[in-house]
Order: sequence, then structure tokens, then C-alpha cells
Amino acid sequence: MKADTNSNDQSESVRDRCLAYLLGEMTPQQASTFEAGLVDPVLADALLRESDLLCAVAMSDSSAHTHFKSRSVSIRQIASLVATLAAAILVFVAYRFSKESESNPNDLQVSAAPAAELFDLQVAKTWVDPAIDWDADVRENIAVTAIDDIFNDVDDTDVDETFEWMVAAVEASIDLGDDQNDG
Amino acid sequence: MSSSSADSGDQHPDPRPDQSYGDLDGSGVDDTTPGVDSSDQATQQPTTWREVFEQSESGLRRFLAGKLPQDADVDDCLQSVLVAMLKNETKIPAAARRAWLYRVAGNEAARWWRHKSTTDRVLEKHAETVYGVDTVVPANIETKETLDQINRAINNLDENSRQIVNLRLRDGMTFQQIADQLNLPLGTVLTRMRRSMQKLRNEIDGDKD
Repeated sequence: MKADTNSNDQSESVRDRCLAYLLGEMTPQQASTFEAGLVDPVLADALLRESDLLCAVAMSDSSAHTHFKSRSVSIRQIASLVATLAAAILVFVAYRFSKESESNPNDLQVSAAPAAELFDLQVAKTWVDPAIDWDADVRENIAVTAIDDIFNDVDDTDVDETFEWMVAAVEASIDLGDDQNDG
Repeated sequence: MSSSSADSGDQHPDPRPDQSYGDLDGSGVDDTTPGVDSSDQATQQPTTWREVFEQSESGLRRFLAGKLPQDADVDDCLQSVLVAMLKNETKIPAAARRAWLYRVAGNEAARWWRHKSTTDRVLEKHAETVYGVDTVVPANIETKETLDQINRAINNLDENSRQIVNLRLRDGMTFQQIADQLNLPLGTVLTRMRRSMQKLRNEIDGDKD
């Protein structure tokens, strides 16, 4: 019993010395003396066990704090990144929207005008096909001019000139109709 | 070891033997002698890993010399410890860095003996090639279980003792600083720290048994 007690006390004493050495609580001379005894496997094993314990105690607290800190830091980083992306997307969408609203009206007007003119020209050609030779270049200018005149306000004096092509077309169609009746 | 009455004057009486770390150099004499100037105490706490290694190098070399047959092997293992220290990415509190170095040295010595055996070398190589076994994994599992045990043991300590342990190991304060902060005698702080570590050892060793 006494021997066991003495053995335990000695073991505790050795562990205490190891702890003091590992924590740097020894003077340089004491540390040197302690290190000289490390060739003894008993002391070396005691030092190793105390090192394990010390690391475990220090890391158990540190791991909790570090994990929490790194976790909160990473959440903050993610939130700031998401907010930055959302703001960038909003700015981009607003810029695109404003750019489209500025450009759209002009585009519609420009695309509509030539299409309307061509359609009217086709109608006129179909209406007055045999009366006038549409192959000549002058005809297009006359047709376009006539179309413009139709939709513009004109004086009475200009009416005859404006509808001249239509009159010619109607006369031409009447002549065609008389010929058919005779047959 | 500890500066005691020299600094504290009348406020802190000479420490009794049970309020100190006792015989530190194995000479059979209590090293906590009154009148010891604090400047005789241990060297300044190292602040960088390099400083810790330099202060521990002689001890590490003696430690490995007791485990390995030749000086060349000791040099190799010491080099491995240095490399492990440089590669380490885990945050280790300053107070535990020397202990960490000795743990790594112990692991390196054990690994050296494993590699020495021809049969073990072949088997290990075969295992690494075919199964890709990471031999470090069991140590991680053990560490996690040990950490759980440690957490339980620390929670079982009384508040004052737990505070002293945390201030010393986690925050890296010296015992003198802890004594000043908690307004306690230095000897009391030392004693509580020592007893706390004893309790933790007993609980860990008891769980393993």
C-alpha cells in the first residue's frame, strides 16, 4: 500500500515536472537538467503523455472557438457576396431597361415607314397594271409621290395632278371592260 | 521555479511546498525557494514557431536519442518534426506548441520503427497502393474521442480552476499575469493549475481503463 502510494506520488511528481517544462515554467538551468533526463524512457513516456494531455486541453477550447469564429466569418462573407451580386444584377437590369426604353420608339417608326410605302406601291401596281409601264424608273417616283400626295393635304388645283394616275387607271380598266362586253 | 515572495512582498507569503511545482529538477529539493527573483524564471515565452522549436531543439534531440539507435536517425526525425511544423495549418495555442512538437517527435519515432521492418514496409506500400489507406485516420478518430473526454473533464472542474486552465492554455497568459488578474497568490494559481491537470489526467486515464 505504502509502495503504491509512493509510486503514485512519484508518478504525479514526474508529470508535474513535465507540465512545468512544457509550459516553459522552468529556468534555463532547470530545463537543461530536465532535458538531460529525457534519455530515460520512463521520463520520455511521461513527457509524451503530458504533451498529449496538454494539446488536447488546449485544442478542445481552441477548436470550439475557432470553429465558431470561422463559421460566423464564412456566413458573413457569403452574405456580403450575395448582397453584392444582387446589387450588381439590379444595376444591370435597370441600365438595360433604361437603354431599351430610349431606343425603342425610334426603331418602330423607322421600320414602319418603308414597309407602309412598299405596301402602297404594291397596291397601286396591282390596281393599275396594264395602264402604265411600271418597268420604267420614273414610275416608282411617281407612285411614291402620288402616295405621299394622297395622304397629304393638297390644294384643289393640285387634285387633278395628284389623281392623274388613278384616272388613267380607271380609264384603262373601263376600256378593257367595253372590249369584253362586245365579245 | 516560480517567483514568489520576492515580487509579492508581504501580500503573498512564502509558498508552502504543496503550493508549488515542487522539485523540478529531480534533486529532491523543492525548487520553489523564497527570494527568487522573477528574472531567474523561465525564459521569455516564445512568440513564434521558430522560437519554440529553437528552445525545444535540445530537448527534442535528447528525447529522440532515447528512442532511436543512431544520431543520423535522430537528425532525420528532427528534420521531419521541423517540416511538420512548417506544414502545420492547425491553429495551436502558444502554450501548447512545445507539447505539440514533442507529440510529433513521438509519432515520427514510432513511424521510423514501423518503417524499419521490411515486412511492415511492404505491407504498408501494398496497402497504400491498393486501398489508399490513410494511416492518419485512426489518429484523428482517437483525437476526437479524446477531445470529447477532455471537454467533459474540463466541465467537471470548478469554475476557478477552469478559468485558470483556460487563461493559461488558451489565452497564453503567464501564471503571474493570471495571479494579478484574478487577484490571487501566485502559489494558489500554480496549485490549482497542477491539481486541475491531475484531475484531467485521472479522468482521461480512468476512461481509457
